Amino acid sequence: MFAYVTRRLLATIPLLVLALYLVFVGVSLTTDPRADFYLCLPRCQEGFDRITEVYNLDVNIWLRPFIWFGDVLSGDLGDSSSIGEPVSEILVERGWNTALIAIPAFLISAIFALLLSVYSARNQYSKGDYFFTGLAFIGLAFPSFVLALVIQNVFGVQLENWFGVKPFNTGRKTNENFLELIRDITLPVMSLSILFISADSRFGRASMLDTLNQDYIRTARAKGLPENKVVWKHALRNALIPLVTLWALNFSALLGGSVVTESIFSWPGLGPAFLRGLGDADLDLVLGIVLLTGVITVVFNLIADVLYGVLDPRIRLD
Amino acid sequence: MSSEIDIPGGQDRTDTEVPVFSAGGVEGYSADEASHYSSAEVEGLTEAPASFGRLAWKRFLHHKLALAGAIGLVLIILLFIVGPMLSDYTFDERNVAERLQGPSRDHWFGTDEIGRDLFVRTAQGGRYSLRIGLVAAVMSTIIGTLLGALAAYFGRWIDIAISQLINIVLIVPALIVLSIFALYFGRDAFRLSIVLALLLWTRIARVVRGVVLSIKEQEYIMAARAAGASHLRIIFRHVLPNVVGPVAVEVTLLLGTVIVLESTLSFLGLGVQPPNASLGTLVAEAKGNIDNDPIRVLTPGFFIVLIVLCVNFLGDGLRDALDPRSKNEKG
Repeated sequence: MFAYVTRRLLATIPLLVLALYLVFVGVSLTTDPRADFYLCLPRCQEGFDRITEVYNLDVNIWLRPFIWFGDVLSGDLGDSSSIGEPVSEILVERGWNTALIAIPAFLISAIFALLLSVYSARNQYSKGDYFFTGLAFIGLAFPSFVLALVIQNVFGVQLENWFGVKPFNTGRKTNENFLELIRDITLPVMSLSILFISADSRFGRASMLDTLNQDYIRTARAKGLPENKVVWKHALRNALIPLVTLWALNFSALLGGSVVTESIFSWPGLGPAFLRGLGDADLDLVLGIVLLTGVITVVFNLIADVLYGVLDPRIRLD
Repeated sequence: MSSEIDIPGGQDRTDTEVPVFSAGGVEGYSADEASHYSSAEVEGLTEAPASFGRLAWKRFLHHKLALAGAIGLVLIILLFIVGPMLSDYTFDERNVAERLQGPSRDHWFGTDEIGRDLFVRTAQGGRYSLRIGLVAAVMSTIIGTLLGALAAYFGRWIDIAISQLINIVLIVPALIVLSIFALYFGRDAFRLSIVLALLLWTRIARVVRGVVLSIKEQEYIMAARAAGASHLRIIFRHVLPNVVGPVAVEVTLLLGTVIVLESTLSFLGLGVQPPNASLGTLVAEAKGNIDNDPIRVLTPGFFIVLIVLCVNFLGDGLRDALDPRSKNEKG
């Protein structure tokens, strides 16, 4: 197991490094932090030189990423030019904010998706199954920004007294008052959950149906096990295996920050920071976020594979 | 799992439902439905065996939602093409005196801040979105099919290289790629489609790679080699025809993905740029005034949802129709 984890990590690190390298070169090629200085050049030579120095612009563009890699290895992620704080601090603060909506959204969507898929699989082709499958289809067709806007408008504006979208954490710390926090996260969590429930429940229904139709389930029923035990114990454990992978991917996607949903609800998470960094050509911030999301993705993929082995002992991780 | 995550309504699977000894599993499966299908089965036995194409077409027609999706898509496209012809207004004709009007007989969807007719703009934007979606879907299919087939057919380092390329594409955030390309190449519809295609070919490549891996070991490929056929001939004549089914399904579903992605990017300001409009930019333009006029956001948003819904129904129907195993395999 340990050898497996180490080998997997070693195999993915070069990929992550290459991705960061490409992002670095790509963003550097298209932006120039000195853009404002060219017009005033002889006069502001000092500032020009300082920026050249800070961003190592005198170094060849294909070599520059290695300076950044060196800094990262020594624990320095650089400073964000657009927000004006060290990138590491921004990542911690924004990452925490993102986690505040990512974790509830993940838990809610996982629980609902599981219940819905078990229900739909047990009552295949019933009215309820048609209803939820129809809802899942509609949910899948919604782009996240349309869904978020609709939810924001319905619950935040039309039903203003429920959650109040207007004072929606404008510069306010998000974790001072628990009730306020719950109120603030409800709508973004709702938007994200609906999207993930739609995708997961269809997948889960298929997986549950596959399992329920297998011979060993028939055996379990034939020997007189209560139906609930058959479904929740015997079938669920096998049906969960593909779902767990999906959940790990979902969770890593959520923790990486949802650009659209967080932006629409003005949630100060990683998503809007990423968008801002991209718009302002804030290389250090963009790289920091790519690094963070990359690490999250790698780690959760690994967790998914390990859980895969735990749930299904036939799968050997070696 | 392929054919399972679908809407009930395809008739192919109903007959395999019977042997399930489930407390809940057979509910909602009425007796006369059963007799209907089984008699159809019996009749089918007396006819001459149908070709795969005909069987697939029949299965597709029986898939009511898929048919509804296809018809819906055609109707939407017709509306987008014919609608602006019937209207008195043009795409960017301004009339500030009539700004911010609600839906009326003159302006079916109302007008925007500078008095442009929103029906014509929605139709035009919808066409723009669909065109980007189609071009990107076709291009990513070509890229994905070729690279997937090459990886599986030749194996070894080519396979490793292409697999790593797929991983890189998946790991580099799409938004960065898009903004870099946009700065370099500009943002007209065709270039946007190219970038989207470069981001989205990976899924198809994986599907094709899987199919080709299982096909290339079969005897008829060896026979073709022995007969002296070139690699290219084998790939295009003998291998790729087998992937048409799975790829057709993927392309349909991809079309939905592209349309959602393009509208999201345009919404964020990274996609289609003014003066052009797509459904995403129409939502973004209307967003500022959403408190007073939510309908204006909802109309283009509604069309995105409708198009993607139709496309997904179509894809599901195609999957059931083209999967020869869907008749017997699943329960």
